[in-house]
Amino acid sequence: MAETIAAPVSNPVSERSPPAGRKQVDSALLNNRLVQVGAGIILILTLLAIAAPTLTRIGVLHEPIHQDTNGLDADGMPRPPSAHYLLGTDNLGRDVLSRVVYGARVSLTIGTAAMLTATLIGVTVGLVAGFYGGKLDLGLMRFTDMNLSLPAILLAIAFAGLMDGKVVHLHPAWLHWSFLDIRLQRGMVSVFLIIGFVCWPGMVRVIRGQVLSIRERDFVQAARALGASDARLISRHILPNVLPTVIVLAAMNTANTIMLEAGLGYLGIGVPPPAPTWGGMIADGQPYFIAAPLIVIAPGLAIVITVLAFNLLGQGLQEALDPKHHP
Amino acid sequence: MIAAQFPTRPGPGLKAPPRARHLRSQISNFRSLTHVGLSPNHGLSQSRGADAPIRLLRLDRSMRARASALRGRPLLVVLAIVVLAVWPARVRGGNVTEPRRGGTLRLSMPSDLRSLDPAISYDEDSTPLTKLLFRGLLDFGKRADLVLDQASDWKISPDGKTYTFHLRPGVRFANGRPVAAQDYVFSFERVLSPQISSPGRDFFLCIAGAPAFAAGKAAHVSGLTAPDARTFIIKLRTPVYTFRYVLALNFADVVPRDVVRKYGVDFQYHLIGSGPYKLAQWRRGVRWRFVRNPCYTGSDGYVDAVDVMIGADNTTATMMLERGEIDRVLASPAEAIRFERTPRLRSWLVRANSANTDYIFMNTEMKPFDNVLVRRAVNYAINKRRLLRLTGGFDTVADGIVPPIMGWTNSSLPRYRYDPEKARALLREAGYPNGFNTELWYMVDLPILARLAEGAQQDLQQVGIQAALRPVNGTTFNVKSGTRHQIPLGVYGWFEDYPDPGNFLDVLLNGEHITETDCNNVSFYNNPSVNHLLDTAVTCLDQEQRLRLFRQAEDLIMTDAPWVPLVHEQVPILYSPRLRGTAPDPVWLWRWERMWIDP
Amino acid sequence: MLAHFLTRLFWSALTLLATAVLVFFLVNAVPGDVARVIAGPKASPAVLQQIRKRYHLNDPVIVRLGYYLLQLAHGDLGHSFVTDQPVAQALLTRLPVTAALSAMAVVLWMLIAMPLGVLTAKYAGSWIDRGALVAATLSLSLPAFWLARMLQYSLAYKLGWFPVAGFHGFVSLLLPGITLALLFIGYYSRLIHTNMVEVLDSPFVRAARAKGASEAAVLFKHALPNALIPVVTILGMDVASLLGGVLFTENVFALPGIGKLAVQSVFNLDVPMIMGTVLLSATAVVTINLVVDLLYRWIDPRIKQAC
Repeated sequence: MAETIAAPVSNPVSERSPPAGRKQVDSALLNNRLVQVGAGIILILTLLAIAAPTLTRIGVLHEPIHQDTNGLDADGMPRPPSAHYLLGTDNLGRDVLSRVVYGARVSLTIGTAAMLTATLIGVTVGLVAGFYGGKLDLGLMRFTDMNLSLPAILLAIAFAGLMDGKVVHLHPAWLHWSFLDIRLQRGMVSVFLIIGFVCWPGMVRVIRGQVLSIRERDFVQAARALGASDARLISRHILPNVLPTVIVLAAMNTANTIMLEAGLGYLGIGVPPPAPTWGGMIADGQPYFIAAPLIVIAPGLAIVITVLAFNLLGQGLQEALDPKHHP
Repeated sequence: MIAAQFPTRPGPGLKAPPRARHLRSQISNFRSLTHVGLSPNHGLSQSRGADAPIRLLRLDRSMRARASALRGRPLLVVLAIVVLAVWPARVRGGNVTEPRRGGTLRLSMPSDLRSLDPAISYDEDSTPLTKLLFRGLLDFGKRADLVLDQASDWKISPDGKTYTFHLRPGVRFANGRPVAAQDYVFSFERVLSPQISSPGRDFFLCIAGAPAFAAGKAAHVSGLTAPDARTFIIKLRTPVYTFRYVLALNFADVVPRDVVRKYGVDFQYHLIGSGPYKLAQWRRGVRWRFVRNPCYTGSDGYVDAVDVMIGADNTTATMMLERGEIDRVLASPAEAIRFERTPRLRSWLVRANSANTDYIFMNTEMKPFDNVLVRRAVNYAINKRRLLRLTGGFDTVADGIVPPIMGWTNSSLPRYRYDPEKARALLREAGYPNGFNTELWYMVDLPILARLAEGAQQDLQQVGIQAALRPVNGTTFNVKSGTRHQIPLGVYGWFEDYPDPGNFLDVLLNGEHITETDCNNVSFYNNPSVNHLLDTAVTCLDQEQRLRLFRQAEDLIMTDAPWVPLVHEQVPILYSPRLRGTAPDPVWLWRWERMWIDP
Repeated sequence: MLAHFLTRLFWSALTLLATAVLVFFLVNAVPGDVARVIAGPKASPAVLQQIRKRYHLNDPVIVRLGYYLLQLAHGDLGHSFVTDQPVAQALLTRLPVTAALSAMAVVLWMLIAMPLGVLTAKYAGSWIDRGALVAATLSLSLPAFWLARMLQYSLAYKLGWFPVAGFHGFVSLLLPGITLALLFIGYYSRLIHTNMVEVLDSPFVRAARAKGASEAAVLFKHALPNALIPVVTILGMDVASLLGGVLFTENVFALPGIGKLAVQSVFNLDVPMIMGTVLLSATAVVTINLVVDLLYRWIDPRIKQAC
């Protein structure tokens, strides 16, 4: 499930001294079949997502939210696959293929944005906890544990429940600064923030562990003895050394965030319609599933392929950046 | 009552199969109300001849969606009558066999019911199950005619205000105690009691002394008396003709007063009534099980037990039905079509018509929908024929407010035909040459309404109205739509409680019923002329006259255009082939105790 | 040992308390008139007022939190807003199904992941290993709700090997269990694989080989038990994600478990029930981690203070 994926990288990158053999890593990266396949799929998906509007303009794809009058037969049943609709139509007469392709825009955007949010939080917490240790470390780690003990999807559902059009005033009532009113409603932004806020705890433990060991290494101690500030120590010495781990975790976390986005869409609390989302397509297509299985199978396969690509990439990165583990 | 239940509808489509078209033509035969003997004495007959084409349609159908447990449904009081036509739905060949006893009926529901307490139960799955446990004085027969149930005779005084019943001797509750007239007094008062918040309360407010009791100002309802254990007398404040139908609803079913007093609110876990079955098990959100009531003496109640599992969504339930794991599913539109197109499965499908209207409402108190030109533009902008296909294609386009299946005709309809050019012209005239932005709200848990909303959004876009979709859950929608200045534009549905045009026009569009919250008039439409027409019609006993008044009101409403009526739904039901007696019940769509299992 | 146990217990309790507070704030920020949810649409203003008073809905959130924690301290999880059923009772009636389903899934996936992990470790780097790696990655890329639907359709509806849905004892848990297992086999087979590779490289395995133990004995008797020790910890940590999968699986297969209850309560805005399901899952995770921690120490006394 969603969160499982982060855990396998219990020690994804072996500790290395600062002058990482960059060339070596580069070639290991490029030669790793998993990286090739994963990155290749992601590249194709990204290109497709970017090109989707153009493809629509030149007539290869249909408008994803357009309810085609010919998209339903006389009884209102979706059309089976044909030359015009390669994957058939959905329950509103919309082209399934177009929706799947446009769905990649939503999924990849939200997945990436949420991954960045989660990484930002996760890395910060991990760095701070590992670097400063003591009470701060204890508190942060307990907070992380607490978040880990809740199923991410349940937490995301609870967050999503907040997004019901309520307006939050970020200014005192007597000031009428309406530009500081935030409307809590479901959209791309709220969904990626929710997922970002839910997905970070998985990263913390690994980052912290690395920071703990790097902190004690000679070159860090030497820099400290020379009077380097904490900020400098973190930014110049520690961060560069955890970066490979962060990249591996980020790739795998993207798989998580995309899966979670699909889950929220499936439960009807993702990006609202008519935007094409894979999870939403599966949910909306279910009543048509037995009669027209493609409506559900197609977006499901899209999820599988995308998540698989990110997982393969993460797996490959881990191998390439950690030659010790996989000779 | 509001809105639809999860599954959905098909029915005769645009290019409907011959059989379906046949159904449609039968409706039109019964369209006229004039031959519906409405004179009081006719109405009293306890059973009509089999040839009588006139029926009361379904009284009660509401939404049962995922959140059914709390879905609210505004309630309506309707003081009038129209008996209506129900077309004989398809009858399966198997129905000719004689009913036999035995077997277990296995049902499935997507989510649990709020309660089967007869004072609380009020939706299409609850009512037939409530009727397994509870019975009352009158019941609806197979032709929606009123028949005596646990009363041996009844009499209505010439002034139409006093109902006198004598109870059938030997009727006992499932715990063995005989039913007494005092139990009826208690049961009726319970529905009116301020502690219960019964959705059926308004049906009983026409009883003498009921308003005072409901307001907590009287200890008893003066109009309810039991001179002896077998005689029950009801006195009304005004001669409300429709009250006799209320007596066949589950709200009028009898509960044992000693047991209810003993358990209080926990009575819902210890349900005991005088029906053919008794409650064997209720695990919240998991399952219900009903077994025979040994004290029941009636002839119905053929299966030995009824087992209801909770939690399977519609797709899952359809697979279960086909694999023989359950006996009934409310079909999704696609499934209904698939069953119809598959020869082996065709006979599993039964279509039942419902008196309902799904509609877009425009809040006439909110900009820009306070402008009648904008509202008319929206009416011209919506392509209802296209929407019809999005919902499964077999419903009918709604031209007016009141469903024609109620026997309703209005020659001035349809008022608006799809014409995007005209819509744009009206928007220009209204001062919105480039259209405007607004929000279109709907309930995410009712897929039919959701589909209608998504379809309507595209139509609006084509005339320049950018409506952002606002899918919310049922509770939020019900609360928000009933509150002033909340929802500018929304999609909603209404199912009749009573076969009367007033159930739609007066309940939903009379400006005098506007309240700050919990308002059924979700357009907050208030036209004094319409209000006056409706007020007059509701209290009028001359059928011709009141129908004329209702028609005038509908005309005015369509001119003011607070709604875009979209479609009237049809309910496709799939039954396992081993189940017999599945022809749609004209009132409640199905009556489990009248079905039997073919071995 | 005892001191350590007590420390862990203390932290577990604190974690749960913090979870309760966090979730309380989250859930109580959910819009919607709770009083109306409780009373139903026909309730009079007086009744609504009464309910607001009874559930302290007019008080500030912080005061309500106080009431809630006080109630929790008495072991009372409250009553459902929608059905008025005690939350604890609802959870207890559903726990066995979820527990049985989870247990079955764990057993199924471990039974498959163990030989798979051992085999791929033995032939590390070969095409078998690479193929298994890709298959494993595929397994953790499957959306639970989609896989459940696909298996239900093909194996139950089309082929009729299993019941489609519903709960009628053990048989009903088979297909949902297989679904969940499929989602986790990949991950655990790789985990065991990685540990096995390390263990196979260790001196004591070489010693065992030198003593002339058979290959099967080396793999399964000497190496595997050692490779499994870290897996136990991960298993404990994975309870939360397992519950995430259970949530979707139960909904597709209409199993009356905690996951089904959680989704229903969210759609019903049933605040106490949402709180109950979240707290239950948090408790399960914390308890299982505590047990795993102790177990771990018992299995491998060398570990002193790793955390």
